[in-house]
Amino acid sequence: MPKRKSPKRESPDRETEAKPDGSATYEELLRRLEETVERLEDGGLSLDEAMSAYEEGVRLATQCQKLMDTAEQRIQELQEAEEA
Amino acid sequence: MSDAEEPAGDAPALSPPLPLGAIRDPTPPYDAPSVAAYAVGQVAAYLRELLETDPVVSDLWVAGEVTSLSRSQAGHLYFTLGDAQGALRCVFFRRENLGVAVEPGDQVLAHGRVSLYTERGDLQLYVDAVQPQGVGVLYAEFQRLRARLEAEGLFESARKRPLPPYPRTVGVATSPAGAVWHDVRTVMERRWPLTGLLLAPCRVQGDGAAATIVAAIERLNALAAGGEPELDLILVARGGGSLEDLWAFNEEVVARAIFASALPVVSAVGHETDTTLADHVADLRAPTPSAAAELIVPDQAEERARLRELRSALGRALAQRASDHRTDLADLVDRLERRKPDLAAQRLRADDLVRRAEAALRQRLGAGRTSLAGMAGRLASLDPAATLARGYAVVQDSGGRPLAGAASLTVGERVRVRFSDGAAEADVHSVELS
Repeated sequence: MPKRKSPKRESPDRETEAKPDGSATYEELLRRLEETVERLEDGGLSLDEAMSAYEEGVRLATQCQKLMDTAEQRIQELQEAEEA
Repeated sequence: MSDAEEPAGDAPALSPPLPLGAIRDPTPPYDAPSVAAYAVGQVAAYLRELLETDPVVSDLWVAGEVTSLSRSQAGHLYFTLGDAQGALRCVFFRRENLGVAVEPGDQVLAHGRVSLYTERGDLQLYVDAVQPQGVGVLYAEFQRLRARLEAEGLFESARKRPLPPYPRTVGVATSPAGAVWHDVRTVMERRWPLTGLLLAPCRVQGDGAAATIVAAIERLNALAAGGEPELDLILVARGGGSLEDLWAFNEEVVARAIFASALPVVSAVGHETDTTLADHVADLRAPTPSAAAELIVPDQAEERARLRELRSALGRALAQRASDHRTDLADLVDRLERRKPDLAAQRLRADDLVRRAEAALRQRLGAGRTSLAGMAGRLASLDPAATLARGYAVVQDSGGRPLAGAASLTVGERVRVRFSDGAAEADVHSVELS
């Protein structure tokens, strides 16, 4: 099977490479946010730790929201495969 | 016909015809021309090979009426399939005919391969599926394949994989021209623009379409293993159509490509009421391509609501923690209060001690005073002055030392006599010892 990947994009302004900076995905941020909420809900944190956890949680929620606000759908198309 | 005459597995390789000389009498009485003859077994094997490698008769559906039906003790069915122009002997082995009812006079579609039963020279159709003619041959084929793939375990629900909740990139195997590709992009962009789309174009209808669908699935899997590590899922999609239109998705190669896919596969072929073999094999079947897009990615609005909920959960939890700490603090203060020494009680106790000490002291002092008075009395009784007061006198020598007896007196010695009220000088005139 010819495996010719041709990134023929829909439109140039939509082109966003898949997180080349290695930044966290929404899923990862959401997971961390949920863990932070649980940690804060479980108690056992000092007041300072609780404050830090709260701030961390707010930061993660903001990041998640920002990902949605700024997302632009990435579209790629492979070239038609040659007839076998 | 014997029950044991199941087809031999692979036909023997076709050997070249033997020269006549090889089979004729080795010592012919005449000078034979060089014409080759074949042994019957050779011819039979050759014909069987010819039939079994023929692309048409090795895999076909035959329509006709069932006659001369018989069932052997072992459960194999033998019948003739005929119409006005011809007849074909059929054998339907027990392992294939389980649960299939065939009656004489039935107009049926029989699927199988035509081959030669070499031992008897019988040309027959080795049947593996029978459907009533009324269903149409496509439907009959669909049923046949479905039964076979199901028996092989391709539809097992246990092997269906969960879909990633937030796929990073979805590979879409569909036609770039149709409305499906447009609908999938639109729905996914509205719901969840974070997920990228990678179109693997293929033809979804007509001759050769199945091969392009298979190629698209294989290319996407190869990319996921290589240059597109974020490819998490494959969507195989096509809009609605007749059974003929959707046929590519009922082809065995497509079903097997979906089964072999390392990436989870969502299928959305046709409308809600159409179910293809691709749908049966896929990890998830969506009723329509748009519905598939909704099943594959989360809903932005729901995620935003969820984030709001998590934010308020954070706020509530922090307030709770602060309240916990306030309660802990109040508790500590309380405990501290309870542990504080009671000064009033201490003061009372000290006062009491002082009182008791004073009492003890007083008692001791009182006792002392009493004994002092006694001792004073006793001392008073020894006081020579008291004796003198009772009328006695003390005689002292000139040095003032008391003279205790007459023997200590010397005649002519001046002595001093002390009385309680005064003293007198006296001279000793004589001493008389008693």
